Amino acid sequence: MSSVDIAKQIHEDIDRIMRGLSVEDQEIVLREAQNIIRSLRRIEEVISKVKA
Amino acid sequence: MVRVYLELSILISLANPLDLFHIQTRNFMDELRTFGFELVSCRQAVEMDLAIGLTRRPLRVGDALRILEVMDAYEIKLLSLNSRDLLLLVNEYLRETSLKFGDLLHYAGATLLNADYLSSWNTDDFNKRTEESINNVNVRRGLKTIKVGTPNMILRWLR
Repeated sequence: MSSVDIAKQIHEDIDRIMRGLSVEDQEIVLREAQNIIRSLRRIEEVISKVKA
Repeated sequence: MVRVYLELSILISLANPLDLFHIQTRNFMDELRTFGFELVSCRQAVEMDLAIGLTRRPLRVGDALRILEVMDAYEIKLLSLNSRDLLLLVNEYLRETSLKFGDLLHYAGATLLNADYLSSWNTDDFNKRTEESINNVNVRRGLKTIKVGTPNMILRWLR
């Protein structure tokens, strides 16, 4: 899949999730997405330390 | 300083050496840095893209980490906005366009971050026609208008 196809698919998935939700619920989803990426960064930091 | 906003397709192609647009994207980034332009993306939009890309596929953990890594390497600023302001603007765009919510997070991010250009390889959803629809809302709300194009188009405008 090209970068364009991947980006389009992700944006369609986001559309299915977010459309129709209240702004308050959309805010919650954004916050949870942020938590996922924060956790991912932390896991990467731990793995890097262990490997170093 | 000129501010250039990078949408997800640009970030993915930059992070993947096998991607069709990888070399063009790298040249684009190098040229923008030579001009001294500021490269930005909206934190909420990118984090949403990566989180949903991971949970629903098509991204793997390594892909997401690589995207974050190249953003650091190319000094692409991941800037946060007030989530409510961002979402209210996205919902206003939704009423006036047929674009997807994920696309609109980037349009709203670029607008609220006062970007001059929004760059994407996805010409179906980021083009002159969609730019006009977005800018109609922006003008009505007294927000900055943005110019939307592929990296090649943006470089042509800048030269």
